Amino acid sequence: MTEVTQENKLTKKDLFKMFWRASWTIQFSHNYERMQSLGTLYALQPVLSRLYKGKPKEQRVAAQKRHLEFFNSHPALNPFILGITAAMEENTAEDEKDSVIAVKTSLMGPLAGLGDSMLNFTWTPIAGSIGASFAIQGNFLGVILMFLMINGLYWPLKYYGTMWGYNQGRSLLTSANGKKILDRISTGANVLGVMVTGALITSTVTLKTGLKYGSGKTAIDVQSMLDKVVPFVLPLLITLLCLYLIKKWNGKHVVALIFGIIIVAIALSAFGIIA
Amino acid sequence: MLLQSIIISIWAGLCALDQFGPHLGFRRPLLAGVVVGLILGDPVQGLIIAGTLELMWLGTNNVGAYQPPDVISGAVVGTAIGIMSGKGTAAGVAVAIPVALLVQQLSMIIMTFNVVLVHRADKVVESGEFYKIDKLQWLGALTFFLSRFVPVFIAVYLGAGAIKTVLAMVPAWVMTGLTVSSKIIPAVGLGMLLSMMMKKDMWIFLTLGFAFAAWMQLPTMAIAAIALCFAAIYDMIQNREGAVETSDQESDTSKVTVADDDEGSYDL
Repeated sequence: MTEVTQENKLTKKDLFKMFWRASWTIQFSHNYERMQSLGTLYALQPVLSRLYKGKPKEQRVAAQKRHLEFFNSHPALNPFILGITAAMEENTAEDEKDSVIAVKTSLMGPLAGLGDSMLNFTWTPIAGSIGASFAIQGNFLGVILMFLMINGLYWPLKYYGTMWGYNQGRSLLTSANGKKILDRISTGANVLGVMVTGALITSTVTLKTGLKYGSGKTAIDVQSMLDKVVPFVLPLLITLLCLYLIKKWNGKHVVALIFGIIIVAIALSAFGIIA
Repeated sequence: MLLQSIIISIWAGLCALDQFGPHLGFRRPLLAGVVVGLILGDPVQGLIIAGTLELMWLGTNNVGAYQPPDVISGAVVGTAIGIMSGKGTAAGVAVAIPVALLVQQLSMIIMTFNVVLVHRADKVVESGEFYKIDKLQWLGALTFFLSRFVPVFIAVYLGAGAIKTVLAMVPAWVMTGLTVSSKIIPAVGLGMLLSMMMKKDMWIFLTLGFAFAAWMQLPTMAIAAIALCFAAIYDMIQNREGAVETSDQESDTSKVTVADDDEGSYDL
């Protein structure tokens, strides 16, 4: 812990600026190498410029650099992580900054899984199906309902996420077992995220084989045989293969993997092996 | 016609910024398409086409790093062509699908190009001119804006006839292959997510989630509720082992905090 001088203390206005930047622009510079890293650095500028006001240049450069590392999470939950990050930046000494990045990166995976499964694949489709059911009857009410359902959830998540993350983050850090509590939050979110992601394999990935065994009327449809033993086995296998390759390549070559799948899929579907 | 095409294309660009920014909902087919109906002066027709596309693409969303078929340009062009051709929903859907697939490829190219921005940022930060970070961030916004503005303008201004000519040049088996691959590629996004989450013991929960969905066919919400309970149980087990390290009072307060967080997560 360092003594925080009045000049370098974060104000509510700084946090609001960070929330505002993160809310509107977090993925504008999204890219396959470091995903949202530039976006989070952009959002953190108001916080960093306050905390490093009047500090030596090496320290200011080091602060900017460490937030340009790989980062990717869910846009609606990023403000929460950034709130905690701001609290940690404020309360750690210059030689403890590794722990800021450790907490930031340990939260991003679990919260990305949570956000994708709960928001992208649950809440948004629910809002969309309500909106669309009115819309196809020519009723504009659905459009308004869909807009309200999405924004009524996202904005509180982003705003209170920032503020709660900062306040809780700070009180967690000053308590004796603060790191342990953050670990537990992260692990809990991880369990939730992994389990729902396991379920999402069946609903988001579609891969079927068109192979038949034998010929004519007695031909056995391989897909229906697979369905009887392990339903969705092909989506499961392809997801595990992607996981294996991503881990093996350390998260690089994602584009190559995607284009590889496209080329193989075009070839295999041309021969009727997959459908 | 030219003016309307430009306004529609600007709208598509703004919807793309919603996709990469605030997530107000205009990145979804219904909200993106309904505005096109207003621009073209046929709001009800636009509403019906956009609603149909929303239903079709309900499950199309990003996971992890995965860029799905671009439902924004699909919905905007589909609604516009549906209204302008006078053929309504059928024409809209027919045009929307290939456009979404083509712009998906374009979006992946932009995501690759934007790597330049983050490398530029490395240099900017080194030199201490931190204000330039802002410019780089907004340069990214420009590339994503153009990635939807340009294809939508070409499609809407040159019209359905041009799209058909272009598509006629692409062999049918390639289009089929592209459609098939667009349904497989979410696996990359899930793989990306899992690679960040698969730590000690996590295979247990991956198997549980898959089993509940594949064999028992429970809805995602039900699995989320069960997963919440498993998260709590796992936390209890882990914490019992570590409880020796901390005093009773401290572990009591920590329990409360974690319970609060889990409640909050469930509300998502």
